[in-house]
Amino acid sequence: MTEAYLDELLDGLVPPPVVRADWADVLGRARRTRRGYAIVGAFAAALVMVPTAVALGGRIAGWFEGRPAPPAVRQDFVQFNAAMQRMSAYLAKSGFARKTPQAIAARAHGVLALRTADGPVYLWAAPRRGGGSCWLLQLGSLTNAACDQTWPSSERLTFSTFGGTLISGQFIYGQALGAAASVVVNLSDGETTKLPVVEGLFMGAFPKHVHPLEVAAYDASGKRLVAFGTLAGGTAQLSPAERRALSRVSTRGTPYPLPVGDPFVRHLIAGGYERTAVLLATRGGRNYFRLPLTNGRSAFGTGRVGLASGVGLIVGGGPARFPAVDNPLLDMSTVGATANKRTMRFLHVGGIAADGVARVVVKDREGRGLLWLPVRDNVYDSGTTRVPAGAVQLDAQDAKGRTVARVPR
Amino acid sequence: MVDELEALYRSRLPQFRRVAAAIAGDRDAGRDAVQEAFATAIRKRRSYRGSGTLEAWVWQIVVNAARDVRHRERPEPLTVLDPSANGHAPLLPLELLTERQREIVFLHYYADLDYAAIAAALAISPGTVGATLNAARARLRQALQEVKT
Repeated sequence: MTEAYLDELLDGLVPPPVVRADWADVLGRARRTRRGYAIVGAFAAALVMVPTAVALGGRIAGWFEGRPAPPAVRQDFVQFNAAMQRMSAYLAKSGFARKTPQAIAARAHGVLALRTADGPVYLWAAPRRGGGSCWLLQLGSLTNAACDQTWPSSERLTFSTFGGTLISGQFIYGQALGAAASVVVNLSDGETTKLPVVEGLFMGAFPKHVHPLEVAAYDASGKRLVAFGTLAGGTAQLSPAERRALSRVSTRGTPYPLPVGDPFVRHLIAGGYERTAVLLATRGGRNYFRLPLTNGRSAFGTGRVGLASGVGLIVGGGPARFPAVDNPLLDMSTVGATANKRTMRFLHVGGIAADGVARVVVKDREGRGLLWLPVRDNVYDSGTTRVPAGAVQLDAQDAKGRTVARVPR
Repeated sequence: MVDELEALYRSRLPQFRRVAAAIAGDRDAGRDAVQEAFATAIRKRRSYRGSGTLEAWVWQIVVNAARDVRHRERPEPLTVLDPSANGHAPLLPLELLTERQREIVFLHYYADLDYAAIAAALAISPGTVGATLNAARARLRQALQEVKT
């Protein structure tokens, strides 16, 4: 065995990570640890504060709503407009005629404010040119902006979650139109949070380890107007048959003897893999495999057609069991940075889905569907279709259109 | 000093992340360890005496942070680091190595540090680094031969 071979094995053990420098997070941690005890307490307080604010009749918004936005926030809206124009130009170049929204930055004003452990979070709004509104969530130097998807809007309730490595919790914010007076968020940890709707917008905070199962808008009399739900982690509402369908991959496939002469395959076999894999399907120049193990379990893998080892990427065997009702998608997509190397997005989408997954929807940051990939033979793949810029989320939907899993979770 | 730390962070982040992930046994935990380590470095920057390089001092902190995570979380040995992103089930019997041997292997292979730098990071002598690395390689070679035969 040569040193080069040892290098190769070590390389495979911990491949070079795709990293995004996060110096702001380092600085935040350096500050936080100095007052660590205060942070824990403060974030807990923030979680309590949201429903309390509603109980107090929306006091949380009272001192903030209508306050003219400072120049920095107006400038953020200007930058958002510029980004939208760049996107518009890009889409036009790609053959898609789409008019992107523009905010009237000069009329930006406050809507809601929330005190959290990470500092105050502000939701600002600005009228959208041509009707509707745009909004901007601000936490320190972090901002996330969006506008009505369409106007007049056919959607009465839209929302996004905002989290990530820079902050200790997560935020949900969005738009509830019509007569919506409040929004109720059911979280995966069993908690329910009621949020006030101000100028058609709402915002709330919740811990990092949970996610919303259902977001519903209510009018002032308590009548439920509209709701959106995701079943991820909340599959109790499914029938037993639906649960079973999310827990199996039934494509039989065809036997695929692995090339035992290949060094990688030799070590797979030495590591407990069977010599014959099961080819589930070939899509867009990629083979998708089930890889039986000698202990009776299976992993899954993929490899470009013509790859010497047959399989190049193996997934499964980790702590999250697949397929399972709360884990019906084994995603093998390629994620990378966009041209400006600042934003991660999906470059190619593909993977294996349980029987109960009918399609995978590729979405942008605002939850807009960009690409719909059917699941056939338990495989989905974007093939040669270019994954649109801005693709940052995958929703696995069942045949009824319910989201049963999300990547990233 | 904070500027120098930031420059080091930005220039060597992939190596820090990779070594920390290997020591911690988990990619996310490794990432967290690096972030925490640099936060610690900022807080304790006045304790850096300048007797060694700044990088060696930071490596010490990163290794300690990753060790802390590993000891706290105690992942199973040879657990796939991140099955969704990595894929390849680890085939190297690293559990046969001591913790010190593993750390030296990771710092040598993943961070491309020379013996002197590894020695400074782990507060041991360069000679010990060389001997330990040779012993680790021999153990891995032997184990892999056993698997193949």
